[in-house]
Amino acid sequence: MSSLLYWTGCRGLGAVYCALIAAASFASLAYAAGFTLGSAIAPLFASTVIALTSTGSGLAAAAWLVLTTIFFLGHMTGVLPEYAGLAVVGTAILWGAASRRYEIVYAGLAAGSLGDPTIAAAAITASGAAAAASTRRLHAGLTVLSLAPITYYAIPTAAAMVTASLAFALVVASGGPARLKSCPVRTDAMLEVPALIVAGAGILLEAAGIGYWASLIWPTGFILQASSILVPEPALGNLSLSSEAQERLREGS
Amino acid sequence: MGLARKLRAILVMTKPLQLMLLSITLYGAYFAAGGKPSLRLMTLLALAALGGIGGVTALNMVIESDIDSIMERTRKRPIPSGILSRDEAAAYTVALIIVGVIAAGLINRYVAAAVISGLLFDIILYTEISKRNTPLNILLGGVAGGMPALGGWAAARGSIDVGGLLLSGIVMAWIPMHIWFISYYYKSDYVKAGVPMASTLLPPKEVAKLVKASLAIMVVLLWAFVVVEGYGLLAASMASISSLIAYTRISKFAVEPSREAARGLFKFASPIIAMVFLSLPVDYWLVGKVVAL
Repeated sequence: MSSLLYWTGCRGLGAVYCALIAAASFASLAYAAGFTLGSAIAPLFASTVIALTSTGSGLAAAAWLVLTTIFFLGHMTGVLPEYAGLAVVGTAILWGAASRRYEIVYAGLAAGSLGDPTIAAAAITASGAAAAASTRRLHAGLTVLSLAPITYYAIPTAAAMVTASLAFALVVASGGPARLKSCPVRTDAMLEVPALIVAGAGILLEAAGIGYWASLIWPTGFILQASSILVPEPALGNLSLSSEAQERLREGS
Repeated sequence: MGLARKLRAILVMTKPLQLMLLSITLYGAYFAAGGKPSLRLMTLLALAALGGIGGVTALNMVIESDIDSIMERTRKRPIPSGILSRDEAAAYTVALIIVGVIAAGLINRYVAAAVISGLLFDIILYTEISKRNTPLNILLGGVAGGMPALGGWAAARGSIDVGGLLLSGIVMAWIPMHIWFISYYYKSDYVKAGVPMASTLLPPKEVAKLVKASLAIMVVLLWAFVVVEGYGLLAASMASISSLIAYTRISKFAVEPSREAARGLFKFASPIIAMVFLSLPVDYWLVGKVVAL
């Protein structure tokens, strides 16, 4: 996945943003397939990508992957106590806060989502601090987005869905990737509307206790939402077009 | 503009020929897995295909209307030609996808997961993330192409197992031949739109090597299917022979590349996958007959 995100051309916070969206999409797919374990694996990939992009070092990314995998497997098998996971999250938060690099904080949050409610609680607290440190709505959106898999463990599923959908709405409202430097993607609010309707329907189904259909409709809406905020920049910028072609392009968009 | 014309435009956006070919893989996998010809399941699979394959393809066109406006081959599609606005097309295609998910969900969770995977791989990982950034984009698009076969298998077996994954892998391995030769044929269009394709960026000899490798993987996977499931000899034999013929034609293309040769190879590719998925149910039926005897 790290190579995949490298291909987007996004760097720094932009790559964090893409990583979270891709990870959340995989998590929602895993949810549709009925694998709660899979929901936890996606943030593992995300945290690796984030480590790679935030440090620019393949070695650091590898170290992070090993660390989070040990934590993940240890936690799932009951070999490692909770505080081992907390140590991973705490280190990331302290490191990120000290260096004012919020992507590292987000990496910690993603790793934290692998844990249980205790770890989630710590991550939520740190997340709130990260959000408070930034006045930008995009940061707020990313923060709420990073809470989604955490709330999956800590609170009812419907609330986690609301959180994730709210996050996307916030990111879209902020102008999304257009606010990020060196990230050749844009938000498409037009596509976001039907996607939100689908995701909203999924949330209502979950709230109504119709779990099976909620678990299929909501991930569909969630992935559609994700697709609405990763739309590639129009090809227009890269091309020398005739006025006729430009006109066609304008009509089409 | 009349509703009928708009619905016809939406149908065009589903790429009916591609839909038909991928539906063959879906139904072929279903019957190859021992699925019964029940009217209810046939109808639900058809709706799942329409929404899950056609709807996702249409959504692709909504997102890529900028490129479609530029490329000669695609500028007559409903959005660039003005038959549908992007807003309308987005609403219709999302509705179509939901129909596909619901139909698949009425069969079982795994078929629905295959449809949703198709959406994730085709739209986010292929179209949005990799298509404009790497010449190997089609490898991710290929995963989406394998989902109908996986869904068909899961519809019959009620789960996702090795057999279904192998059939899905067979489609994935076949896709590079299908896409890279047609993109070579329309090379100038792809270059103009800034879409990097292996077939337009690499020398023909390299493209030939890559396609040969993917065809070899396809044949290996098919024989692996025979070993795992205990049937499929007819399909594997026919695919092996077709691949050998393809090998000689690809070698010729490597030496004397031309648009016509690329078009010919593209045309040769579609029947290969159709033949595999039409003969697999026959294999299954033949094994049943032999066991009964």
